Amino acid sequence: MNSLIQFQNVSKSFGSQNVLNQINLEIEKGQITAIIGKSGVGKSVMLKHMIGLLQPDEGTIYLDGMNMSEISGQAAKALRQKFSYMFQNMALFDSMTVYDNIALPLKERKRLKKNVIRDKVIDIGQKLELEDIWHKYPSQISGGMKKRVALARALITDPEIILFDEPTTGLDPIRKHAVFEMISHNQKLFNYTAVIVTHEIPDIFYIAHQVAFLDNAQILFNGPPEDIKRCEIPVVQRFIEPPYMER
Amino acid sequence: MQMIKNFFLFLGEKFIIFILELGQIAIFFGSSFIRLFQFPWQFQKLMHQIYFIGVKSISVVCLTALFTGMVLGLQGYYTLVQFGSEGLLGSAVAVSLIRELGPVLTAIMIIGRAGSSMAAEMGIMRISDQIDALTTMDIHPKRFLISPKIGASLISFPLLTAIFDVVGICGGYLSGVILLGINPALYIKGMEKTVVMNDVSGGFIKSVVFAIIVSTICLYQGYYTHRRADGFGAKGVSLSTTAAVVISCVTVLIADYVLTSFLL
Repeated sequence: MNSLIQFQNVSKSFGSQNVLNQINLEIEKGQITAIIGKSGVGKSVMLKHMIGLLQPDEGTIYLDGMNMSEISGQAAKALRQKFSYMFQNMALFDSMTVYDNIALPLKERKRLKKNVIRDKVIDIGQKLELEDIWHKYPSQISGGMKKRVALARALITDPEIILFDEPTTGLDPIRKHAVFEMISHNQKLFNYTAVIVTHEIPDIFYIAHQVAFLDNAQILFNGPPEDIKRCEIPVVQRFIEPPYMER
Repeated sequence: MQMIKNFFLFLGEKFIIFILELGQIAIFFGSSFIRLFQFPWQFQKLMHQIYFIGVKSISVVCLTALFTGMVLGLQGYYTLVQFGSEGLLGSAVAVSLIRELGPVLTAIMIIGRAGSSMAAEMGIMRISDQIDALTTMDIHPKRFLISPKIGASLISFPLLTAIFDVVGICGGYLSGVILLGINPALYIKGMEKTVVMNDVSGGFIKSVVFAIIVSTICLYQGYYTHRRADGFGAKGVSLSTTAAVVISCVTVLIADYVLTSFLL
């Protein structure tokens, strides 16, 4: 196997709350990995460790075989440019228009010509149905639209690794499927590595190559989605097969 | 005995925290200021910030300056007239404005108008993950957000101080000459005789130092809102904004005393 991101005995606490405890996980290159689990168990914390927004208290995170805590300077910069991150709360710049939000990484990072930037932004905007809201500000659009703008911003730089923090929460079923389809389609097309934190079950099982179940600061299951259905751990079972409520 | 020991322990701990914080503020300013000169230049952002901090503060600075000058004219006239020296009003108004009141009151007005807004903007960007988003996009947040604001402050403060001085002197003229009937030539000539280049350069130095103090403290408070132990989210932003205004104002007054003692 071709491991791109590797968590080795990673622990993280916030005050007295132990969020990650001796976590071991390998994210394969060119695959879609889903991290699932109950709300507040530390899934987003894991993503933030991958991109270096948080540092582990203990353990090591390897990226392409390199210890992330030992990378600095130009190497760290080069590494960061491989990543894109879609935040759970979108983190759109509220003083910029939708167009400027999407174009920002290209303007600041790639320094492309204006017409190239415009073409790229319009292209991704068309795919995500954003054409009518170019000049609007994030506060003037709905939550679902914000989600699509954040997604467009994450995809615009053609990154090698994209970390999605609940990319479909708040979207209607049609757009939810469209987003998953787009992630899957683009992943096959560009062969990027995607890590998705989500609660969308069973939808995520159709596009993910690997699923990790996080609970109680531990990875309780890690494997292909076909296997999770056979997992006998009660909390995993309850999570993936919620009981039907009687009327 | 234990109580005294605890008291000194507490005092020492607070002092160490204060020194560490001071060091962090200095590093914050240094690392942001250096990035102002990093290629490619952020000329457009700098102009935008000059417009926000400088141009949009002109009206409030002019209004404050006009009434400060008028009050100085009134107070100065009634004090000087007792000694028959009302002819010195022009020099009294000009010297107090150029040396002291101009830089200090301009700084305080900008703290109220732009400083609080900068702190709140940074705080909101921090709590809504916008600053982290910049980091994930490999855009240096200090270069993108802080440097243009510090650069704009360094340009705007001295210019606004100069405007304050001129409008304040006009205010003094209005109350002293137009309302109270002092000879206009005495007002102007007295000012010309008393004010020397050192006064103007002293005021300029003060305004530059105040620009550094105000922009750094306000931006620092907002940028590190998430580190506050006494409040999170909206409350944290509100506390950061309040702290930015209070600390900036107090520091400006302390710095004014220190600078005056060196410049005199």
